[in-house]
Amino acid sequence: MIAREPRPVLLLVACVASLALLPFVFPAYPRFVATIALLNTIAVVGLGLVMGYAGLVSLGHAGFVAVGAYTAALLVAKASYPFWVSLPLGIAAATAIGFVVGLPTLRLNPLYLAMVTFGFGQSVFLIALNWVSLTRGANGLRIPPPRAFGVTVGPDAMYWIVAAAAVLAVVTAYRITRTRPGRAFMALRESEIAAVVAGVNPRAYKTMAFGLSAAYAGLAGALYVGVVLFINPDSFVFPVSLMYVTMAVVGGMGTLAGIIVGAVVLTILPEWLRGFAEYRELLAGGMLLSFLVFLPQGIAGFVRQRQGGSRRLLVSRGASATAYALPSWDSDGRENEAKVGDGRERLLRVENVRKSFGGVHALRGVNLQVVGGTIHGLIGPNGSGKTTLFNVITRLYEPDEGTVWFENANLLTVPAFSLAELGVARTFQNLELFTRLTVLENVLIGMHSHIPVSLTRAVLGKAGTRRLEEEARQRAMGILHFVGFEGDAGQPAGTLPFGHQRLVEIARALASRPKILLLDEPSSGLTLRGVEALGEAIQRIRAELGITIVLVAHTMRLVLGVCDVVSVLDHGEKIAEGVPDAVRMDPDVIRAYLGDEGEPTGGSPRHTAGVGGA
Amino acid sequence: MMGVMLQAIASGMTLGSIYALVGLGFVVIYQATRTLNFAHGEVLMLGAMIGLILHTEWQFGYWSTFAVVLILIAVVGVVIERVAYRPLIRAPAATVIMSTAAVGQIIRSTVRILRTEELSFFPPMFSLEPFHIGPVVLTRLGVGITGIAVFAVMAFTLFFRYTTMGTAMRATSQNQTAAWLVGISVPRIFSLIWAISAVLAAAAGMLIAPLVLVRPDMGVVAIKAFVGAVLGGFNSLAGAVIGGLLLGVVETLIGVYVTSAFKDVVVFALLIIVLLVRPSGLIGRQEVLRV
Amino acid sequence: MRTRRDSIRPVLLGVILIVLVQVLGAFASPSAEQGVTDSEIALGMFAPLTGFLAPTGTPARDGAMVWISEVNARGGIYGRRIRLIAYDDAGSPTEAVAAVRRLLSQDHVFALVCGSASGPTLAAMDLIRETGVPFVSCITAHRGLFQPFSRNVFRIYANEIAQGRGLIDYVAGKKGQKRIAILYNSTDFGIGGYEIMSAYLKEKYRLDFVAAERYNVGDQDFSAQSLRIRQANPDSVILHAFAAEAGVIARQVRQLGILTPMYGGGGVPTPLFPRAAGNVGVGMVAVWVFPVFPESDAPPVEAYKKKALQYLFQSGFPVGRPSLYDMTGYIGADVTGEGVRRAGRNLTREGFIRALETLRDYVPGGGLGFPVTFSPKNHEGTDIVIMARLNGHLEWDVLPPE
Repeated sequence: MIAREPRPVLLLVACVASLALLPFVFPAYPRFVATIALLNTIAVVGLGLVMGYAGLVSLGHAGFVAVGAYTAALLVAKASYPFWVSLPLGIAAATAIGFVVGLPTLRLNPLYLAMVTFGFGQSVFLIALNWVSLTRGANGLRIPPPRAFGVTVGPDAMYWIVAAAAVLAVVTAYRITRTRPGRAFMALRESEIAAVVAGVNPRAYKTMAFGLSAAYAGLAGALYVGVVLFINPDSFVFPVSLMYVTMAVVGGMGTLAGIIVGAVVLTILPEWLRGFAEYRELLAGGMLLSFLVFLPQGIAGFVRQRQGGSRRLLVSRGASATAYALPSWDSDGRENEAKVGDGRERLLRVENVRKSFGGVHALRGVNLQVVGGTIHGLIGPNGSGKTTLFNVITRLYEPDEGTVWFENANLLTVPAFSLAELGVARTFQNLELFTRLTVLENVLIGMHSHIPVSLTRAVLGKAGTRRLEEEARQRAMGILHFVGFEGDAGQPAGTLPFGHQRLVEIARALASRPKILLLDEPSSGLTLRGVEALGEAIQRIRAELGITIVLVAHTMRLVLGVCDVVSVLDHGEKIAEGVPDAVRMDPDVIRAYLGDEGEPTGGSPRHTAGVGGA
Repeated sequence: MMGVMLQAIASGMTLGSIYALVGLGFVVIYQATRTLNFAHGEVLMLGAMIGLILHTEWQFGYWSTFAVVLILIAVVGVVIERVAYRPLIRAPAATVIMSTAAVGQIIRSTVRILRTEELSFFPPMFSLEPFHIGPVVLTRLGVGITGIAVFAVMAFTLFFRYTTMGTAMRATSQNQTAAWLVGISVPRIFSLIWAISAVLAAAAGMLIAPLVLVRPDMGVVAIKAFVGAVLGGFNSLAGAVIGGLLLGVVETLIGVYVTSAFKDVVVFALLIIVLLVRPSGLIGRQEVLRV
Repeated sequence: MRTRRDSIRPVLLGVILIVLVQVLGAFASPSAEQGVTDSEIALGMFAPLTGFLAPTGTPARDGAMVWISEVNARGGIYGRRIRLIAYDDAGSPTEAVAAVRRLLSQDHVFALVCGSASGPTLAAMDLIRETGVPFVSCITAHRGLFQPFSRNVFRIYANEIAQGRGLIDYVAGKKGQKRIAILYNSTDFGIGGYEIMSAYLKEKYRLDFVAAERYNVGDQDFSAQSLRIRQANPDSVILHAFAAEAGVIARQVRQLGILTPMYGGGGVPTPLFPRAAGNVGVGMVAVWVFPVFPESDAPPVEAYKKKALQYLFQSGFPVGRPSLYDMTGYIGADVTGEGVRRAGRNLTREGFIRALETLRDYVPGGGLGFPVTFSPKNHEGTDIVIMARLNGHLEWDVLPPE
């Protein structure tokens, strides 16, 4: 079993060959339809990156297409630039506008972002319509056909240009989606919080996705001008934006093949319906509705379901991690200084942290020191502030007061996504796995900060990129093996049994090579045997990887069994701290549990009787 | 000069009340199901169109037309919920948006096939004759629409807050599983919500029909109504109405004093600025992140 | 276990397969004839049959169908029956190009009738000029169709230049108005008309519009524009808008206290205007380019209705029809047919164009249109523009030329 990614070279060759043959088989009209289908493919591939991968709804994609088209057309018609110069300028203009729109607005919630994109698309349309002195408004702009080497490139010949551009666009998108930037997009779509904790900078990647999608739209728009040789604002109305979204949805968002199928099918379908005259819109609407209702995952999702296979075969089906050893952990030069025993260093210091929500005081001046190389337990009744404290440490909540030091850095001065790079990793009480991504991808996203594959690098597809990705996959399989995951790494994480999901989440956290690992209730929902395995895993993580661990748990046996030090929180205050046995006897602790909640246990029924149950 | 500004504000209020009334239906559905109904404008048009046919061709009286249309459209609302929303409850938001947009397309094109006539006039509930207050000209219909919009938002706020059904609806919007566990029939709530929203749309359609006229495309008013609701705050009923009114006034003032052809562009730019400063709209509540 | 959804899926797959087969079938290429056989002539039409422009395209298609059914019922022309292939372009430029390509390279039609609104038609004009397919246009009046002159393109009612100048000559010339304001929409129709009128007003009368306001189709409220016009203190207002919107605008303009005379551009004198404007529209004078009104009981209209009821609408006319576009479709098909008849038994595109160029004062559609005259240098069949006035019964009257 190898973790080599199968590359669909054959598929690509088949597509290119059929694109090359099409003009010889079909006369002018189907060739024109094919050209339009390819233009739509380019535009929708861009939309797919932003919607299917990054999870942002865009209702103004036609606006970006319009920017590309009008830039190219105006440069040709008014400044007499050659079409081939105007084309890249059109793409550049659309990309620039994409960044200008995206930068301030991408932090809005999805509904309002949809609204902003809608407003953008509508504004571009209205400006094109009403800036008559520039665009000639609804009268439209006519441009001469492009020329190359003294020969006029008519609409028929433009087919070849458009086909080449479409292949290029698809290959580029494929490379992006299969490597680090694409995984970051998908991580943001699945769970922004988990993505941030794994080290993904959300603003940067969302803006990148938005800019990329605008670039694709600009390419489609500029090429459109070269094909139709006439533009007016009617080609960029809101229904066109909706049509792009429809193509992405019907094809199956989140898969490149689905997006292409959607664009092609929904270009050809209305062509076929053209003869139905006034019934055409009705039929198209009915077909669209049945597509959505009967194939809500799109055509691609339907095909996948039929095959019953893995979402995507990043590894050979059924690849198990057992064959992998953990690769040399410290090879990249990161020293885990805090090995067991050299231990006085206070790795993590929480100083006087306060946090309240409205009138609820979740944390009232908590102090906590975690010594490097220890396993530090954090217990307390429900609502005592444990998870809130984790959220403050990992920068998901801004404290009202206090500081958090990690090594020599004040964590409150750095953004949440850079914690992974500093060496802080965590898991979540309610599991924040990227459920629709495979197990392997989940772990790979954990490595985000350690794979030096930038967007440019991914797009150019240098040989080194494949090697780096390949190494990352090997390493990820090794980590899965280390935590004891024995299932199929090519399976969507959401389909795993609960206990396995816990393991995968721990593996993802480990993948960022943390110095400290915050585990939030890793034992809840586990069987007794699962808890035992977890305890062993935690000890191995400390012993073999030298990672300091902070453990929040309800299962007393786990806490008492593995922890070196235990701190107890109650009502947002630390009420006790010390070695497990001492804490267990502490009268304040007993009162806190018995007085308020009575039941400090989570999963293990044998320990429902209180702190001293073991 | 002062007269022009007052008149612009008054005219803007009339336009804004149209937005408010239409926007309310969007918000009601969003409140309960966290979904946007892109067929809202078409339901509005369908209501006005059926009303027109009943009133002018079947000789129904004005109020009986109103009653029959509201009942018919409530059924339409339930049908849309069954066909376009319920099978897709677990699908991504974009899929539901597309499916309701498809329903809108079906309604619009069906009406267009059945009635090739470009537009018709529907009798107004209140008089269209203008009357003067100082330098300002108003119509009874315009004032009536404003009043009804304000009344509707108060009625719905009370309904959501103080009736069992309203509380059940709010609970459903917070957490469907929990609502189901405490014995609320979630499917019934959904049907009811869509029926209410459709009834709101149809009532708005018949009210505003004398101003914008009945035609297959009259649903486009929903787009601006949607913008108004977002401006005010999409998770609040009062926000939808205030946002709609404000949008109408601001739009008209920009049209008079800045630019008439580009007024919508300026409006969208303003909307983006408002959202950046107040990401939940002017009076919407910020939604808290839960980990 | 088979759930309901499982049993639906194969059906859906089957449907998709059938669609694909049909699509491929449509793409298979037939013979290379130019749409003429011994028994049939294929005419092509691309027009908005869906979308917000559908109220122009659908009636035009019906009008053409009435004429074709009538001719076919009489045995066709020289024994050749006429077949109309009508494709929807939804008012989109891209779709119009696709539709025309399909008509030319797939259906191999002999000629195009009607065409679409201006945007889509202009997008397809390159292709139409290039291939030289005869095209009798009857929806758009845009100057892009005849500037530059195309040998294969013919028009059958006064174009937008004649309409704009006719209106200015009436308002500034005959009525002697000096402070003229204009409100127009941002479509090609609106902007084209505005450009023509403002240039002509300047050139001939040395005047500028005192206010020129624009709105976008779909706007619900025109008070901002009306207030700006009111501030310019005009002595007359031109509404160059689609009839329905012109009606709404007229009402708002009057409400806001602008009591000056109002004039309308081409397209306003239809029943839609008074329906929207009500009594405030009475006295409105607007441009009209046909000798009759489709809602009237003039003999040519009655004759048309009789044929339409006989051949196409056996169960009665749809509400609000026949409209102006039923008439243009019928006229366009009739002019095309006259060309085919005059071209003789040996029908070629070249012969058809030459035959059309022999038309002298041909009265099309039994009097629905003004007489049409073509020559090798002029393919604008007529430039007759008349003025219509809304009377107290909310009906349009032709103003007698003074």
